Amino acid sequence: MRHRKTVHKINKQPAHRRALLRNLLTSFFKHERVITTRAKAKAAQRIAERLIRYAISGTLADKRRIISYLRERDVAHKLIRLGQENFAKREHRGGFTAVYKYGFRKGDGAEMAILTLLTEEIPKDKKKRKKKVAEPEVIEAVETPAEETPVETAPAEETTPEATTESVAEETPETETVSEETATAEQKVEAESAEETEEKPEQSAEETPEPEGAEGEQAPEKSQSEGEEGESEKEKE
Amino acid sequence: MALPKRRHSLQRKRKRRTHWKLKGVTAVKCPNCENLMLPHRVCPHCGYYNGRPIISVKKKKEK
Repeated sequence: MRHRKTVHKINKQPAHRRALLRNLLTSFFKHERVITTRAKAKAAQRIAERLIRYAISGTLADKRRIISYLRERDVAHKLIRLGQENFAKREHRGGFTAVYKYGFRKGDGAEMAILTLLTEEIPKDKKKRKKKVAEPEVIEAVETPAEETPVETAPAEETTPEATTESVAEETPETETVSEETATAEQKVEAESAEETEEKPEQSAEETPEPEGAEGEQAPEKSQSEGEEGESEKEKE
Repeated sequence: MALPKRRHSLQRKRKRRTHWKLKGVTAVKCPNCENLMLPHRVCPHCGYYNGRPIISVKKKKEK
């Protein structure tokens, strides 16, 4: 529960915290962008939005609030000008700042973030492009191994039965008598032709499993990608 | 005071510890520069986030 946790304490006593945030916010409005830890950025963002609201309203009291908070008078006036000229003309009434997460600090591994003043409006609609780009890459990646695997397995399976039949065909004529030479010759011819016929379907068999396997594995991918599209559409809705 | 009655066997200890595992880092391809990056973060390679450049970052990378 987030109850009764309205203050971002950032592990500091109130006076320390207030001083730190005043300094941070002064440099923030001065440079319009500050890189700090994520916790400090989040704490400062809240106050920044409040100061911007003061700047937008622009009453004397609100101007004085800004001047009293920020350490530098120039920066305070810059903020008031920005509020009046830029932020007051927006359709939205908040969200003039953004915190982007930006990796981890080397020394202590603290998560860093960029606190930015959004002086230009961000256009909306981005979701469509990302997922359509991702789909073809996935299909290509899985296609190539799918073609290779059936080729390797199919010949290995078919060579073994061929070898067995050959050995049987060779053994049987030797045991039979010489009078049956013609028969053996015929059998040999038959065996050779059988070998040829076996080889031919072998080749065709080598070819056939490739597209079958490829198609068979492409189809579920497509359905998956369609599923992703469906999900993305749901997200849009 | 409660004390263990029996020593835990090696098997028991090892079985317990089979659940101590490291999880892999979830990395995502940056939609802008195709490099691997952590999700929901400004890309450390190109300084883009959400399809837009975060300019100061880009400057840093160019230095």
